[in-house]
Amino acid sequence: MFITSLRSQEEDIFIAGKLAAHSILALAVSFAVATVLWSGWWQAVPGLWHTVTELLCIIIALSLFIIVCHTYEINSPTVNFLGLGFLTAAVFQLFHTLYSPELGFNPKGYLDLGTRYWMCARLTQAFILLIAALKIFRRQVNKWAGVGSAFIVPLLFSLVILKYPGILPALYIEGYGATPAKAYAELFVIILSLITLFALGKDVKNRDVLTYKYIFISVMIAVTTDISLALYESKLSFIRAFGHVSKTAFFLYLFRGTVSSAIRYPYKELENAHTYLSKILNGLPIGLLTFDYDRNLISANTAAQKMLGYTRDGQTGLPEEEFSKKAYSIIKDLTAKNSGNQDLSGKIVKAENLQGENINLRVSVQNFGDGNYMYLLAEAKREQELENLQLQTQTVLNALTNLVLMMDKNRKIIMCNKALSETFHIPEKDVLGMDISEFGDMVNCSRREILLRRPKPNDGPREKAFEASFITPLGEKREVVFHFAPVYNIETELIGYICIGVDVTTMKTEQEKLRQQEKLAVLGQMAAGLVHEIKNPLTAIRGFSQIIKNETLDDRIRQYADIMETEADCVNGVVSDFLAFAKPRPPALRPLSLNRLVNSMSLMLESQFFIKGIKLKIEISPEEKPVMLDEDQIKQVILNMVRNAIDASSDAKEPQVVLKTEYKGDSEEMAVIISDNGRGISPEEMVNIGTPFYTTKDKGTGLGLSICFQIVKQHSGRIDIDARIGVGSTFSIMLPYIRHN
Amino acid sequence: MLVVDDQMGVRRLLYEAFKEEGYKVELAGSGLEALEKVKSEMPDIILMDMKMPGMNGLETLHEIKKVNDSILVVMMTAYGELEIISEAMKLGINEYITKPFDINELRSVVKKVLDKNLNRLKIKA
Repeated sequence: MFITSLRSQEEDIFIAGKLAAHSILALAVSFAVATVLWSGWWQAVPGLWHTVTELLCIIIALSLFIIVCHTYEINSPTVNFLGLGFLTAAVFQLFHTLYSPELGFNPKGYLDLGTRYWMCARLTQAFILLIAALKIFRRQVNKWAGVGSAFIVPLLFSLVILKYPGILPALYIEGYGATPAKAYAELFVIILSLITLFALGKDVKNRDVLTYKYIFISVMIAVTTDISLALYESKLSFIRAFGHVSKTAFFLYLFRGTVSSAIRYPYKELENAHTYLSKILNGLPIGLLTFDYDRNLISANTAAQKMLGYTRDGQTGLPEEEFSKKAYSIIKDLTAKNSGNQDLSGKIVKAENLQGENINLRVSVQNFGDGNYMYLLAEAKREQELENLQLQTQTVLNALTNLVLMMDKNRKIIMCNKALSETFHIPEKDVLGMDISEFGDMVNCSRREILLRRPKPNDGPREKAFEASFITPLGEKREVVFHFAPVYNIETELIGYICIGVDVTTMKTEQEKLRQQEKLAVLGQMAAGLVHEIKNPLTAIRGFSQIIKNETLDDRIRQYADIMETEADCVNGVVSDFLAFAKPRPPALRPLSLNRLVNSMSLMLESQFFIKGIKLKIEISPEEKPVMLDEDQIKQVILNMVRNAIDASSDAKEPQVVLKTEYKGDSEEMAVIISDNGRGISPEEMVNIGTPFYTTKDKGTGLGLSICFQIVKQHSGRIDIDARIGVGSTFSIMLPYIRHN
Repeated sequence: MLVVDDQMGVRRLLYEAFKEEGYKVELAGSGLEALEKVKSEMPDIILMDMKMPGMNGLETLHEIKKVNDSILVVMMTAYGELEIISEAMKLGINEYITKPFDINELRSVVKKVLDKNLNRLKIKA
């Protein structure tokens, strides 16, 4: 038994010698008391001392019984047996007292009736003590059945004896003295007691049961008592008096033994258990706090005190009250929520301890059922750290522009970062738990087989890269370079796979664009050289045809020269446009008024329209904001568009062109809008509009609109086209205005 | 007047066009030749192409200005590129015209330049 093992050595003094000494001391005291009483008035009043000592014994025996009776449930069967047995003995004892010769209640001829009762009591006691010492009685008897039989059996027996005294052998015959029967009975009792002592001798060394110490002493006293009572000759002898005093001592020790067994022993055990439990609780790494119904702190173990930063032995001895308050503050939130009997186990509470340090505690609540609560505190530092680590990892992964996808060893997706879910337009929660091949189908991976490839051992995350195209559920095409690699734990067991991808879609388009630009730059250089080489001879051709025109007298020759001049101009126009397209110059942007620009062109335009017989309407927006623009280039764009409008509307019945400026506050733009009522633009034409060298005109280079688009784009603007066949076309040049003046 | 152009056709055209107007026209097919003519003939005005093999227009202009910075220069260019023109302006050209040009237009440009600097020429004479 673990509890017993905790008992201190100090209590371990139960050795027979010491007990014998104790018994002798008790007997000596009894002897002294008997001597004092004997020499005093006891002798004068015959029978009184006997009645008094006997009653004392009965009271002690009854007290013993009452104590045992009240602690019946927690007592060992032996102790209960002792208590009940002594009730029986007390009954006999009572009869013995009543029918002792001094009181004169005896029926005639049976002067020794009291002695016969006494012998019954003695035998009962001896047997009971022997049975108790041998611990034969191991079963718990029903309390009331035991009490009933222990009381009624001796009572009935005593009454029977009272009625028929003869059934018991005579023990004392007046004038003859003690009979052999008494001697035999005495001897028998003494032998029983000696056997009892022998049996107890083994037990007293056993630290297990305290009781035996006192029972041993009491039996030793009993033996002496028996011997002395067996020896007395006269009712008035001193030995008889001594015997009765020592008998009282015997009962006292028995009483003491039972009390220590029934009351002190369990209490001691309880105390030991408590000490033991305290030690266990204080040794636990879990903090324990108990609170009563009113949330007053009842107890806190060492771990709880440590967690809350309370050090009793340290310099920072804080008052108990402060600790109590701190403890309450930690469980306060949980208490409020606990009203609904929810399971709050494992809730993490963040708090500050008494030393001002931040602590994270995992708190669990346990209801004792009596309104008291126990709170279990565990350091949640590690959990918190893990949680933080996970959060950090997720944050880092989400901050990456790379696409990250993690799978378990069964190729189920266990993690994906934000970049991935955004690139593929699939919410993270949809991806998690998905099989990789399912994911591959979902995003139309062009190289699904790689995702299912069996990895070679020692494949690093960067070793195998593959490029694949994907189509997101929204229908966007994505080009991604993926590194696909297995993940191993430190035992080099395969635990999953990782996919790290780089979205190269934009990069590819950019590359394409760059390549295009490079091509164009080369083309521009070539064009510039070519144009120069064309323009130089063209200068000569044009110049000489002019000279011929002036000098010839022949009309036909003059006409030819004129044609040559016009055609030369035409060539010049083409190569100039081509140069402008192939080698555009960056616009020289200045904040300007679009209204003023259009106004400055109006005079020149009106004369042109007048010659062509087309109506021109110019509308200037009353509201405007300055626009960053290159005057020459925007003029060129407007001129080009107006020229297109003239060409388009020339076949109309009442050709009309509207040129207007507009303020678009919503989109923060200024617009120049050129609309005509010409033939419009067919859908097929619309597709090709702005493509270099695409033209619908008989004499067009197909570069005009291309250049316009290019210029407007360089102004961060755009050209909107709205056209309907047979109704007309509207070209809107949209240019962002300057927001702040 | 000195005409500098690597293109024979252009040189001949300008010769014809300005001789008719009564100018004494000298011709040069390259920058080096032009420099020699500047030194030997001392022209009042030079019509010079911007792009020539060997020494290009700008370099030639630079050298000419070293020899005589009072010579009037009209640049002819096929590019119409602003930065080259502005650089040439800094080196002291008086006017520029883009190829292919109208002969009459060139004549009037030359006349305008000469008239503007008439006083200075007279003083020099």
